[in-house]
Amino acid sequence: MGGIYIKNKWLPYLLILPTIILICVFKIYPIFDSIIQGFSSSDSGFTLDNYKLLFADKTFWNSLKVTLKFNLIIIPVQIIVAFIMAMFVNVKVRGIEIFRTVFYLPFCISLTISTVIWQMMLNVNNGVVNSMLGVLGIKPIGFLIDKKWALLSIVLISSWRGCAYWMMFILAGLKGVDSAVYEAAKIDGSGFFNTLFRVTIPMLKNTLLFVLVANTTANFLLFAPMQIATDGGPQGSTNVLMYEAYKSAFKYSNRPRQACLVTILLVIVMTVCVVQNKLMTEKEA
Amino acid sequence: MTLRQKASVKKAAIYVVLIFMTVASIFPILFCLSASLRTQDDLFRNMFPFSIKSLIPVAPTIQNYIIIFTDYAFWRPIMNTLIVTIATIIFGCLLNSMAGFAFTCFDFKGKKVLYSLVLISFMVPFEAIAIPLYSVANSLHMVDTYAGMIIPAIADGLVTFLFIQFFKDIPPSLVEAARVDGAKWPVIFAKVIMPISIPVFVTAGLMIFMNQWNSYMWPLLVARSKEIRTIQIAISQFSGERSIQWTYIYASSMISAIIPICLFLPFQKYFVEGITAGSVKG
Amino acid sequence: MKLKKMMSLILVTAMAGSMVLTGCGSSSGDGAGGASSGDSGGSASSSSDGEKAQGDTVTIKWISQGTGEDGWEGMTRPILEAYEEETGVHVEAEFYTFSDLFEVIETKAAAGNADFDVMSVDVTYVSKYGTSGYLEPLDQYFSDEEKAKWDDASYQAGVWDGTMYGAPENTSTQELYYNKTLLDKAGITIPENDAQHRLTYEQVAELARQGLEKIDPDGTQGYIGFDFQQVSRVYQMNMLANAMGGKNISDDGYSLDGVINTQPWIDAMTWYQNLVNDGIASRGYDADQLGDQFAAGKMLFIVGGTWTPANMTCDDEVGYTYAPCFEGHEDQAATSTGSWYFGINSKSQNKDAAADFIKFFTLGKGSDMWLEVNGDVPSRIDKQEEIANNPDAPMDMKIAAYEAANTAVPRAVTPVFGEYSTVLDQAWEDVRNGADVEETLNNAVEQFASAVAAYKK
Repeated sequence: MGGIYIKNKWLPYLLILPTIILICVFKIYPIFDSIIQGFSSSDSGFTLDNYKLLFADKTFWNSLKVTLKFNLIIIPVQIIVAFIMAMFVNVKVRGIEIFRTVFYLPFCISLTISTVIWQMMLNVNNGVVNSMLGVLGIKPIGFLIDKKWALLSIVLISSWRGCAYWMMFILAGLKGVDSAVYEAAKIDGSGFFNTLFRVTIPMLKNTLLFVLVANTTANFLLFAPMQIATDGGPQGSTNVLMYEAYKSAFKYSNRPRQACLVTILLVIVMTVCVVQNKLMTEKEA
Repeated sequence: MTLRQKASVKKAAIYVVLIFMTVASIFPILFCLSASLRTQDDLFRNMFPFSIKSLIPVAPTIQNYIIIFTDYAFWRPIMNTLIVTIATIIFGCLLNSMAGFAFTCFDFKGKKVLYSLVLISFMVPFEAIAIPLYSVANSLHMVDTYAGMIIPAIADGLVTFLFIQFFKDIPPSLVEAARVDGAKWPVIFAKVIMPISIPVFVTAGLMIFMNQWNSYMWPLLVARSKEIRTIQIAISQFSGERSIQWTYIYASSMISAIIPICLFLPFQKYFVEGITAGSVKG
Repeated sequence: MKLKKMMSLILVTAMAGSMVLTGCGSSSGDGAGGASSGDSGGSASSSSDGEKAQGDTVTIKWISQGTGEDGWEGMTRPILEAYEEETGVHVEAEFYTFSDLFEVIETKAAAGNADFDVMSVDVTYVSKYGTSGYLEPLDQYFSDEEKAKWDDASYQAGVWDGTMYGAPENTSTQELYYNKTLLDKAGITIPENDAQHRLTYEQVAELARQGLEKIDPDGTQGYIGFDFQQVSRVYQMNMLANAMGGKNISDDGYSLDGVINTQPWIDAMTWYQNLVNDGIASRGYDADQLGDQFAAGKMLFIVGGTWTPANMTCDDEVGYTYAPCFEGHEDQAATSTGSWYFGINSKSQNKDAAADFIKFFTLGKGSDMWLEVNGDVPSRIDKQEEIANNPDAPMDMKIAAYEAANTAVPRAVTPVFGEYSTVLDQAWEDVRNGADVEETLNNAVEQFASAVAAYKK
């Protein structure tokens, strides 16, 4: 249906109107209010001082680095794992419905609670993971208190729950692919990977673009696990921009700083999404 | 190796992977379940170092579940959250799918601008806009009402985007055929698009459900009275300044996880049917 | 057929949904309005002012922390009822969890909200909210005579730049608690000690080491020797540096240079780091979990608040004594202090009524009731003396009253406490996890400097 663009004078506006009004009142207006805060001085004039202060702050640069590193790891990990999970539960074997249900379960546990549970499991004092490693003769690892491990542990905690979620969308897309297409590919003697890259992924283009954009947004804006499990530490190694923004607003009551951080995040997320969009549509051509 | 052997080896391999993923998926949940069946003392006494006692309660008790329902009237936040969630799903699916339909099917002036507004709207986190949003809700007299939790959540750019991406996959021939037959647009939307898009609607519904079900900060700000308090707020009430009732938290979290599972199991089959599978059939 | 069913189903649910939405929206709106005679928005509040003129009941709204029946929510209910009986003013209280209260105040205050009159403010945020204009100055409501009824440390913590913004509800202090049952099992007795001859931190660490050797010789049982209830939070950890003679912050409240990159801080943090490295203090538990370890009988010694014995979940017997001091710094014993304050929302339409309520709760009959039920250390001098002079008062309260009056070191008084605690909490946690002490402190000085650059004119 992507191809049809029909002209109609009033119908599209009528269809969009309720959504757009609600979005403008409850999302766009507050967003612009925030962006403007970042450029406002204390007497409400235009200023770049807030940005200058931010750029002079080492904490910001560290945060930016951590944010990029975190997303560079977590976005591919989540999408690939979710894709593999979706492929598996799309296989027709006996009892697959049960597996599919089980794989959804992590998403039903709220992020807060799942972080607390993982925090216990990853505890350096003989938490379950370290106990298992102990059996293999590996010394306890400070998953959440060692700066070499903390960020990866946060990736693990978030992905445990996240992969279940993204799997759901990919599965919905996979189910949309006509099985006749696979049959045809099979008859042509196409191998597994050939089918995957030549048939499945191109057919899933729209779904994958959605998952990419939604996943990118979600992960750039994620900070609850860091807030609960590491408080941004050890040594600032999990202090993402969004957590910095949160602290600026609610711990420092420094709204201009928060506004700057959020604006920068918005620019990053938009850029990444535009690039993703370009890449996905280029593939088509 | 014969073909049949090959097939059964492949099957066995699939099961091995599936079982591995199952363990990874449910182990932490079992942890939560086991913790919810303990006393606080038992929990901290046996959690570390890890042993079989960390997983299986020494003296299992359902006291935590009883207390949260009797002393803390946990059914009330469950009902409140269901009201908020279901209302949001109904309006959210309807409005966002209409918008998604318009964006996919029509060409109109200002489309690009409106489309970017939709995209931007979900690229900023809630925490970043909480303060101005609260002013808006306050001036609309939405503080301390169900409406305050529902209305701002109805139009969700991400849900609209989901509809757009999935509607794009509907074969144009279907719509064309209906137009040739002289069907009006509302009829096309209701009778052609909607029926074959059930999996998308279910996915969108699930998305909205989980957003609302787990939403914390907004209800915290706009729904204070006990009468309309939601589930995550109710759970958070178990953590005090000086001590945290961990076992109540685990018990209530289990309850809050079980409800979405029960509600969504019946919808599972729509994922199996698939999107265009329906269109081919119907 | 299937389609028709689907459509009618959607239609019906949509209609039902809209009914639920509008119906519930309006009914709960009514409920809120009836309960509080106008708690939404400035216009409603001013209408309640009008009501006051007509002699109707006045309602003031108090936002605070401590949810639940065993929290402030349940504890303060009789006090609010007593106040209504006495004055006819209804106090509608809203309780949040400790961490949520900051978000709520920030959002409401930044949105210029007049829908509450009184707020509970953690001592560390009094000056921040004062300088941000969230809090109304209280000097016009409290006479000098009234101010003199609180001990000076408590009163001063509610003052910033010569203006009083907060009235102390009570204060807090820290004592050394120990698990008597476990120590008996290990055959360890606590040496005689009193306020003038305290145990030293070094002594306690040694006792803890001996105890651990007896009850958990191969270190597999998960016992902790000696730790701090609010680990990696400046409230409690700073008392170590204070006990070495270190200060919390510069006098102007905006700098850490020359304050924490000094010998007392380096010594205190190094001592703590060694305690962790020796396996006596823990790693990996945060402040929300560590107290529970003591409560479950898995820790020998803990420096904690006066509520520690009441929070025990196991049957072990708890002993207590004065907070330790450092060897060679016997005259510098230091304890953490400070608790919650009452403030008036600067946007409130009911400031006089709010001030009257605060007086009731911090100096009047409400205060008596509160100190009775809360069991924490009073800020009122008369009540502190009452405990000191009453032979029947429990010993731990006597210790607490003594520490509050003699060794309490106020927390850093600064309008940038959020930044301060972020930087220093992290520093304590990093040192705990093995980061180099001097490097950590130097980084903290630098981080704090750039964080407060925005406020320096």
